[in-house]
Amino acid sequence: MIETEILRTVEACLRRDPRAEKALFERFAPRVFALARRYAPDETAAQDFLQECFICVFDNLKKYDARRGEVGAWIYRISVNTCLQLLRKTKQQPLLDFGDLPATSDEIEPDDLVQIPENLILEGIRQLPPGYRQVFNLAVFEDWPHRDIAAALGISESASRSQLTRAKQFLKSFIHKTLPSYAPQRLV
Amino acid sequence: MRRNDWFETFLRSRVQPEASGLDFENVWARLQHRRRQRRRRRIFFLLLWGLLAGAGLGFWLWNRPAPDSVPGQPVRAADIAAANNTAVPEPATEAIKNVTPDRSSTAKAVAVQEPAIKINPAAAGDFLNRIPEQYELEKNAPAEKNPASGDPANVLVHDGTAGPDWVFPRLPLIKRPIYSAVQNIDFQYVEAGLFAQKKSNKYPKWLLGMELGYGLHFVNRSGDDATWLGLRSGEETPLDIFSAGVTLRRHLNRRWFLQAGLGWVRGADRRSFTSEKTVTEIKPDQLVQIIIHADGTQEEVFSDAPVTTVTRTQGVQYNRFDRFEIPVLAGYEILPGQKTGWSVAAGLAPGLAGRNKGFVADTLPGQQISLAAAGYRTSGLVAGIIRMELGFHLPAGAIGLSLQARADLFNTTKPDALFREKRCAMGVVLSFRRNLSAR
Repeated sequence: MIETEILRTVEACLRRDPRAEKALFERFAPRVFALARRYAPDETAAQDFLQECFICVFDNLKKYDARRGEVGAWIYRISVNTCLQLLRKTKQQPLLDFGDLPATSDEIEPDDLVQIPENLILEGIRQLPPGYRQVFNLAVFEDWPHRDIAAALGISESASRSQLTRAKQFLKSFIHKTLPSYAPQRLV
Repeated sequence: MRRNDWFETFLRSRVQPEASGLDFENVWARLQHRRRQRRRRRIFFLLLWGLLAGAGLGFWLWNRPAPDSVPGQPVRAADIAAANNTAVPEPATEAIKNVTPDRSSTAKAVAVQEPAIKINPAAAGDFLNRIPEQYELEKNAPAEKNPASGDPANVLVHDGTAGPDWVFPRLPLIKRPIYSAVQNIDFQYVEAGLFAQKKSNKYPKWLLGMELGYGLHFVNRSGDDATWLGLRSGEETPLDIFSAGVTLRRHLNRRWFLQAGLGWVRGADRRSFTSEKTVTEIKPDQLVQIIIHADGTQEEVFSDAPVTTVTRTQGVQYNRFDRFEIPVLAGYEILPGQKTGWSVAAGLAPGLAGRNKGFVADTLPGQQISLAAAGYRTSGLVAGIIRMELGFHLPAGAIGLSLQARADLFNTTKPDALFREKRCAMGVVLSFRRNLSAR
């Protein structure tokens, strides 16, 4: 679907055309779901996040301004904010639960990671405490600068940097420990 | 800009930007369900706010003061005279003088449109002594009431030096006028509505009425077959509920009442479904085989063959649940005798008869069954009702606006059904009642 078609779909969505709404959902749901999987603690929650993201998208669609960027980027940005908001609302998982991560000394080399499946990486990300997970996702996948992360999460920039470093150490350690079960896929 | 290391680059390359493997159709169905729920909730709160705002506005309109007079406040005779374009009466030797206002006067003269009370000058001293006692005053001047309305007349009082100075509309309403001396009459704020309260001791005993209701209803369904119930939850969305009926209300006293009636209630569900129909037919002359011979030639074999056609239908249908019931309520007037007042009522609505129309998904995939076959009952249903009403009382009756909640007390399904279901609803009810008698 090229951008002009997407814009036409958005206009139809604004007229509450259910077919257009479904088309927009089908076009962007895989991308938003990939995002939701990284932020949510499990798959079920990821599906709930996906729903909430699109509810938010449809509720705010009239605010979309085509001059300020593509629809996809706008939806993605709204989805990131919705995920952060949902995590903030979830009392069981406070936003900045920077619990202690185990000290890691395991080092892995790039060659070890060639055949690591995506699910293992997602599993590792989900094992991060929520605060670390958010900093990690925003920094690595959304490529937000630490200044923006700090503002969004209400922490200092130095805290954002240190949490990112520690989250990466934890992930490396997690992958290192889990690698033996993927031994057949490793390139030695 | 942050500097990315190899690990971050690796992670970005390994995690797919788009996820697959999820049943997006299912998520879309649930998403639509959630949006419908949100929309219904929004409508409900709009209704609720509208009801409260309307009630507040109605209350204010009903109780706002008259444009040119403050209720219960004395009116200066000089102002009345100015409004009437007449001269203020000359000072009199009597302490109190008979005054009959101009009946053609309007506007500010509203307060004196009734004949003034006539008091014998010889009794003026006695009158002034008795004036704080409204009942004494009534005793002393029983014949001075307005013969048409029976209301007490207005009274003009001189201060003895400068002619009629104050006019007290409906003097007997004054509960405790305080004045320091005859020469300087100074009445305190007069509590308005005392007379109305007294008059309102007459309350209607029987009221015949009709009611119209609209609300949203919700379903609570349970059972052993979680998959089937999940499918039904995805397909079926409870919509709105309408009600209409006639009522008869009997006031036991000023506060308590009983109400019974005959009502019709219709609840509706929307069902969005996908059904598959598979038809297998034997069709002649179908290409069933291609034989490739050793020399490379091909032989096509035609014969009768079964051809399966799968027809998938997506549709929307509405299930309707109609009930005839006898709602019986007991209620309590919180502010009896007021023009506008709140009341609360609660009771039961046993069902007389019912009719269900529509279909739900069957436990067999792709099939559907009627509501009757699914096990929905049409009789033996009892709902509990609770309502809070804002009533606008008129001379001939009353108009009521209620916020009402109702809930099934028993399952709406038969004991042998595969599931159990109860429904509850919340909405507004508009009532019109006419007095049949007064006590």
